Amino acid sequence: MRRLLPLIAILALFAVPFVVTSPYYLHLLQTIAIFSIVVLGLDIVFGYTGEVSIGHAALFGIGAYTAGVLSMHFDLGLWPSLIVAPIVAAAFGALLALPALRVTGPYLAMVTLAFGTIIQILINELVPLTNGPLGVKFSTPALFDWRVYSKTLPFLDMSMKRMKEAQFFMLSAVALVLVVVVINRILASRYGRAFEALRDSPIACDCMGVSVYRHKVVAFVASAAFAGFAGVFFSYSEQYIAPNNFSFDLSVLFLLAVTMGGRKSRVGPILGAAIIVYLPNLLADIHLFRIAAGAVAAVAVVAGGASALRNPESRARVVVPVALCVAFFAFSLFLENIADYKLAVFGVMILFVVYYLPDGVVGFLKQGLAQAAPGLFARKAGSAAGPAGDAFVAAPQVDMERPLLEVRQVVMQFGGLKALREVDLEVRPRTIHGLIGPNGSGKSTMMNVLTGIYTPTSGEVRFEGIDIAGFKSPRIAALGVARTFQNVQLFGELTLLENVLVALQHTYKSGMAGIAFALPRARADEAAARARATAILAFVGLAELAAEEARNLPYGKQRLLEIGRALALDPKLMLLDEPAAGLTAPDIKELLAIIRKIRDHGVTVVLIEHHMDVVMSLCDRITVLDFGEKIAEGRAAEVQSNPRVIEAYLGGAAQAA
Amino acid sequence: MLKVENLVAGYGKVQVLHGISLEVEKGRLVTLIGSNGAGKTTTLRALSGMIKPQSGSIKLGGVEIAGQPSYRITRRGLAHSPENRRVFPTLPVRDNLLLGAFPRLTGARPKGDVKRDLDRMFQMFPRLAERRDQLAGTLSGGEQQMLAMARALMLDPEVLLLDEPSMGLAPRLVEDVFATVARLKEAKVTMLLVEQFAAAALAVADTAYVLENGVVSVSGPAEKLRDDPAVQAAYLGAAH
Amino acid sequence: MNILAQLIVSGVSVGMVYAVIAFGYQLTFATSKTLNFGQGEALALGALVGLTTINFLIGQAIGTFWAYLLMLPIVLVFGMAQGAVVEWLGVRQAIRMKSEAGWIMATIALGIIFKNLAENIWGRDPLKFPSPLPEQALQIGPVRVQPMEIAIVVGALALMLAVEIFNRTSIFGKAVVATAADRDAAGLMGVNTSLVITFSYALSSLSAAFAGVLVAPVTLTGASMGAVLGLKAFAVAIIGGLSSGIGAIVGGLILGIVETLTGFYISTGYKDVPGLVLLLLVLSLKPSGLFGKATIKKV
Repeated sequence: MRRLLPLIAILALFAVPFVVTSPYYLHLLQTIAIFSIVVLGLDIVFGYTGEVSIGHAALFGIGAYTAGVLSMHFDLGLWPSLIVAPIVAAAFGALLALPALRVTGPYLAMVTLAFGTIIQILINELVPLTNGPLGVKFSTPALFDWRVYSKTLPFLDMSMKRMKEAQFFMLSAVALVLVVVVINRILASRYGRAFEALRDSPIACDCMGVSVYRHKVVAFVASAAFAGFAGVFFSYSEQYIAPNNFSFDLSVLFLLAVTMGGRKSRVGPILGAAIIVYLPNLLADIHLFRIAAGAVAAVAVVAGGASALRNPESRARVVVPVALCVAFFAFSLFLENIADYKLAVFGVMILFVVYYLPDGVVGFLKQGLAQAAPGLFARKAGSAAGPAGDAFVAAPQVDMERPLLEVRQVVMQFGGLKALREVDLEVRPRTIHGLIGPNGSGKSTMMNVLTGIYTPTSGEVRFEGIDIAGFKSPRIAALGVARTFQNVQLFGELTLLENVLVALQHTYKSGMAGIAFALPRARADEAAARARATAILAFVGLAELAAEEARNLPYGKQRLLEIGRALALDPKLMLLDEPAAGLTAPDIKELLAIIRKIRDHGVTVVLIEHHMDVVMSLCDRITVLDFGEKIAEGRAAEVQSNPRVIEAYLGGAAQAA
Repeated sequence: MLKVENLVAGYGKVQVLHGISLEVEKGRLVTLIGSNGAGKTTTLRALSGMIKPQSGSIKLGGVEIAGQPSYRITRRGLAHSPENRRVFPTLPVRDNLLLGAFPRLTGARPKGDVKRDLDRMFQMFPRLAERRDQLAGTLSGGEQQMLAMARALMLDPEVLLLDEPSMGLAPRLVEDVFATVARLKEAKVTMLLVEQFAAAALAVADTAYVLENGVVSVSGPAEKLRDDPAVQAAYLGAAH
Repeated sequence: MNILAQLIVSGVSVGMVYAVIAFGYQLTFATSKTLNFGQGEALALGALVGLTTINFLIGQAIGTFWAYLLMLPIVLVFGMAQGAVVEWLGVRQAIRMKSEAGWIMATIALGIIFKNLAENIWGRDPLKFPSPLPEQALQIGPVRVQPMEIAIVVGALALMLAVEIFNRTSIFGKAVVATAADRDAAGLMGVNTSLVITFSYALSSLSAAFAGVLVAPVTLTGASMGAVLGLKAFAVAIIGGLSSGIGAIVGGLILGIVETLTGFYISTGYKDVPGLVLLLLVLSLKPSGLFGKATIKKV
């Protein structure tokens, strides 16, 4: 049934041109389809990765003008453009995203905003290429003359112009459905999981070898390609394009469409596109505007009233937006001429949506339905655990002759504060190595240095002989270093199975194209990863909770899941940062067994822990840090009886003893 | 001076403190000890308004302060020297200290003699006097700890909360910190001290509360708790 | 050679305007990690309010020069009020909702609203702003300089210096710096940090409004005068580093000079291009900006 759905949608859309006979409305619907493609693409960036692009109109314009240049200078029509334009737009997308996403913050928004303006200027200026302000003309192509069948199928009898319009609408509709299918596939794939994961915990994402930077760039480039693709349709649909078609305002409209329709869905952006396409009409006619404002106010009163009745606590929260809606309606009655205040109304709409409809119309309806009928939206897709595979692949190959990890003279300085002072550390392969010391002694700093979160001020960190000091986290993870976090860093909104799948990213061999076309190889990858993830969950004792969202787990289980997730990297070295913190006694027992089993599978473990009984019973060797210095190293018993260690632990113990 | 009843607090949906009650009388030194993750720091953060308590009552000098933003609580005279020191790295030492007296300098608290208090801090911590014009971010860990304590004292507080002043310090510096705490106690500063080094904390404190998994498991006069096997088990067990 | 010197001199004055606006971005970014995407509109509003005020004062038979000086405080106060409104309506709630996209969209929306209001009040056509100084260019050595260009450089430096002195000497300024360094810890000092953020927005819009009345006499005034300036200042803020006042000045000068050179040697049509190119270049080579410091993440 699910697989037939796109076909049914296409057939239904094919019927539209025969039902909607007004060329004006058909064109409106066609524009909605085209804008939907842009907005759906933008949702990948804005909804999923949380970055803001104010340059999608420009990317859309680049697509449109690629079609223009191809047709003007190379006499190439629609079909070649549909292939070239997404590539050109994607290239521009990469040009922006690669530098702008290196830093976290509003940089992408700032860069894309500047880009949008400058592209408009460039199109105006590059007259020989783009025909400048005069614009480019197109003629809608005819696909084939179906009027030859009009004897048998009388509804096919129409003018040439109308036939072209109908055919082009069908083409746009097919494109939209295909885009929805492809985006669904991408979001259901490892990419979609990574997009969700990087918002929940970027640091954990990087440390699982899933580079946040790379995935954000991929999301933006894909999104740019969709915008470019839609641009071609726009050219041939409008039959004329000019630089000011692709202004800053249009970029803002696209953002509004995503937010207003509802992020992270397919229906939302399409709904949003419909709203923004219809918006100019709404804002051109004062009567229509009053009716719409009245309708919104009525819905707000009803929805707000219902919510207030059901849940008295929410009363204070709904009063303001409802009052605003009603006031806005009153204002619309008072307003005589809307044309002058069109932009202000548009601005107020954005503000309202941002504050009172952050999940969009779709989110709002879902929330309402979920309250009315709980269980309707329980997660089902993507969480089914398949048959289990093996939790471990073959034991990692390590050189038993030399230390797996060698830290030499590492210094980590923050301003005047030395968190690590010339620390040496040697971890031998297939051992459990304890790292202990009082609070603030530098243990967690050491973890962060080992996993690339900090770059040491000086010194060497050799893993299998390679100096990894200064490497970025994803690269270190790819070499085979996995970790858990002191303050648990799970991907809260993903299921347990998906959490592990994120870390299994490295087992996939097929790329974005394979996913988009659902090639057998891509499916095999996914099936293998799921089997493996199921087995790992079984190994840490969480198999029956596979479909649960990670944030709903009790604390102790969250720590076990983190260990499972780290295992999915097939690490040679596993760093456990206080795995027993906050665990109850039976949980700790389970944990001990798991850590031993991990070691027995050939994985080397470094363990930071405060529970001394855990450390003493597990560790082959122990290193003790105190105020950033190594003060002791050796077997458990040796360390325990070392006077410096005792003093460090009791601190200022002179008084006490 | 400070009276806490049934305090419940946490982060987001995670509840860390499950109903804590404690009292700090004027001029006394009370210590809050317990193993990592027991909720010591969370308690202090809830008291000073860095996190909003979910329920319970906090009275400072008889006035309810639970749920107020931290700047209001500070203006009522509760100073908090937070975990990890949190000095302002881009400001000189002297400015860090002056900011400690912000409510006094801006009329939100009785002004007194800020200049004299500043000199007193420099007397008490000569290292800071030497570095008064140096940016706080360039200080060593021990110096930053001194600065954080001095900065909190500049409020001329009714109650002083100290969160792990020994953290990350060399043993010799830890002794200095405890010596300072002892001096403040002699000067009748009301203090609530959170410490990982239970023995040292119990040695200076008047009263102690032991936290375990977000509840007070044992409390009483410090000298009694020093020899209490229950305390050893709950906390010191970690070291032996 | 003379042409080059001449171009550099005009580049400097343009660059200082960018620097002032970029400085405004830095003020709010420091305290709240947000900035006003409607900064260009704040600039235009400032200039338009200044225009109305100065015309009124000239109508009271006050000379243009004195009218300009009298107008300044009014424009600055208006700028502060406008900035406070932006923070209150556009940023405060978004920060509370921890919504990254929220404040960006909200400040864009407010920019659109302000621009539309300005169009309705002052019309859509660009207006001439009376120049307080003679428009006759001065000959200094080989180059000709308009007195207003000198005023722009002096005014811009004065404003940034004033803010810097305030931050270094007054206890309130120190509270602002403390909030920027560590918001929670500043709260523990008794500093009302949300008020500090409102204040930084007020100062930011003040800078924009001031930049508006500085450039207005040498260009034309209108509701859409700010859009491109605001954008260029983005580039400047990123080139110099979002956390460095000196960076804003250096970034502004670089961009201003490169633009006038491009305009002369290549084509005026392309003079907006180097901004984006420099922006992408700096982000690729030194993402924290020429004068910015890389931040340390906490786990």
